[in-house]
Amino acid sequence: MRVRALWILCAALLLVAPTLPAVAQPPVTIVHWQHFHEGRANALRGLVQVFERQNPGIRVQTDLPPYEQYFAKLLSSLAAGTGPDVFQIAMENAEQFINAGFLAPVPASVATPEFIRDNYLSWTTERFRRGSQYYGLPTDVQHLVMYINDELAREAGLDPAKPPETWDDLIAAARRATKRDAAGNIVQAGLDTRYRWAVYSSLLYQYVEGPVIDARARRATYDSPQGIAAWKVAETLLRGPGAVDSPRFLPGQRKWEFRRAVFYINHPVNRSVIAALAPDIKYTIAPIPRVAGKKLVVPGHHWAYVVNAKSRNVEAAWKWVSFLTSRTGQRTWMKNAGDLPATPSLLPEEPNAVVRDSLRFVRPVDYVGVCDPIRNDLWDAIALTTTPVEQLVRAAAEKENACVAEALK
Amino acid sequence: MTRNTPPSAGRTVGARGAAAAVPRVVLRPSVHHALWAYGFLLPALVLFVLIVAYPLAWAAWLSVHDWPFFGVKRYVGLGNYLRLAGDPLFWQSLRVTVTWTAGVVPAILVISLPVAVFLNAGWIRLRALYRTVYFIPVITNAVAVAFVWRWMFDPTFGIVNWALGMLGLGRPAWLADPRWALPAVMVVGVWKQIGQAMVLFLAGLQTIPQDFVDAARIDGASPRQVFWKITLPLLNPTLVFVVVILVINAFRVFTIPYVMSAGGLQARTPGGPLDSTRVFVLHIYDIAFQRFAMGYGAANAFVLMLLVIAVTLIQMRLIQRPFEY
Repeated sequence: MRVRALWILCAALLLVAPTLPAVAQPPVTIVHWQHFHEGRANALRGLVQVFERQNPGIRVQTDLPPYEQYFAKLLSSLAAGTGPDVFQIAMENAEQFINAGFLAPVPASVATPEFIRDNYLSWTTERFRRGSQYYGLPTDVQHLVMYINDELAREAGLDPAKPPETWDDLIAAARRATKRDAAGNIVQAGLDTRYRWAVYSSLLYQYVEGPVIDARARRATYDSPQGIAAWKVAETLLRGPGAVDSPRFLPGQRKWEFRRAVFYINHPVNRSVIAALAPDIKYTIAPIPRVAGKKLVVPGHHWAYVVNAKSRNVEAAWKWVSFLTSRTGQRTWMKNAGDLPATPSLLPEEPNAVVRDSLRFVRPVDYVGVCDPIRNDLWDAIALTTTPVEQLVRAAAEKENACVAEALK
Repeated sequence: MTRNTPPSAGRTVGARGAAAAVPRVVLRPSVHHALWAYGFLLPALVLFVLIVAYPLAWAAWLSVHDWPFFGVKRYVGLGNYLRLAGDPLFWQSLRVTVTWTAGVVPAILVISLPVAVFLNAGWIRLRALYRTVYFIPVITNAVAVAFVWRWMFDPTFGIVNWALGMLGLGRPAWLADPRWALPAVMVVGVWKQIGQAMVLFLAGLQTIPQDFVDAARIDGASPRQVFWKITLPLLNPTLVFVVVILVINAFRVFTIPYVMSAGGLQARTPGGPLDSTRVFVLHIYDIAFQRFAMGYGAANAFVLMLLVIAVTLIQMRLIQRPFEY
């Protein structure tokens, strides 16, 4: 009798067995890294919760190191073979990461090349394409706009509803808005130049008509006459008694958010920073200034979510990335972080007309590798020394040539 | 391990059947003791190999390779070391580090030694309180301290420039000015380490026999003479130790310049403005973990190690004075 019962139990277990692993299997954990940003961190938390509810077998573990340490941590871990499953990289890093074999291609089960071509703005996927294969899906799509503190602008006799249209207009308006103490030190900046990248990119991509970084020739072209003209505008902004800002004024601080600057060029995502740090500021968003007599050109930039080629959970990782970059994901980024959509059909959902319209004038930046520090140092050298701009620009361009060659070798 | 027993004792065990066939190893006492000693040292030795010797050997191996994180390792021999000579950033970081050392170490000595002598005097009241106050900067978190000092040195709204303004003095841009950034950061380096040197000097002062001081006073020596002829010479071992430690610390400084020169969407390794606070370890960090040239970074790290060893040996040679009580 007992033996028969045992046989029946074994048979029952065999029948049930195929369903057991699904029940007992521990959830897959996806390790996700991206650099910290005030607005995007909250949006990501919300997305993780939604994704985990929809996918009970997958857990997402996030880590958001500060931007300054992000790439050091990421590359060390990738080199050691212990990198995260999913991470984000900027468009200028695409070539290096793909060539190094760090990235897993987007599987057709997640998104076919046709789907990617049809669903995303082409400039937000192009740098991540090799032939017909894509290695990342776009996120953090940004261009540049100009923020105006309404109250401070009116105080200076300016009308925020009529923002400066050209660089000359901006310089004149910013000079009016700049305040100095008795010793001549700036105590209110006309233009917050803390985000150097935004200001010089706005200038370079408007003044230089060809590529700013010629990847084929592996050289920077901003030491050309057009490039020098762009840097000369930076000189006007930063040098002499007519300077509208200085690295000496509140160094490293958020001047605009602290109500110590009137104009500020930054990405639309900065709206979430303002909401978090200075929700009381009444501000206007205007297009960045253009070169007099020329059409507006707006530098565009994006990051991409990618999957580690050595991930043991590639399928689940791509499922997560697919969710992050889906229409639902993009709506969350737009609403909570102030990002732009990578999918054109979502653009009407962007509430700000200037942010929406500026996208039509986007020219994607063509920077390559980790060379931003060279241009940032050039900016500081223009501000802090009296060395002729041409000389500084040529020295920087030479350094950038070496940096680009290193990145593309 | 076999006990060290005379041969005759071994026979009593050997008489037991099959065990008698196994020859016993008899060790001399010195070998026996050495084996025990190495046995006790083994855990520490294993740790040393794992966390010091192996990484050091790995770094040495790396320093003769070109290894961008994005590419494969390639043997370059002494190429990385030769590259140093033509690298302006290497020379800049060396210049900044030497300036830091030449400014910070003497300043700490000049301040901490008199403070220690003062706090060692018998007539001082509230001695424990003063010692605590001077030691607080040492135990305070370096990152937090650096942040606070950064705000204090703010050119427009900082308390330092406010005080200078009240005195009618000039208001430098401090951390935003390539000429003033390093002095500002060095001030914090001095402030942070005075307490540590003071405690070491206090310990040294308390080892000096009081008889010597009393005898000198009876012979009519003034307090100044007692200090220069008795205290300072007898404090030499402590002085050597403090100087060596401070110089090593100076060559390895990182946190204070890093935090004080960071921030502001620079997208670059701190050490600015214009590399004016780029100390050597920051330079190594930049090369290895921001520019991702691991081999070249390792070569820089080895040069730093050799520099520290050389400077330490020279110091010991120059300032160490043999003496007997």
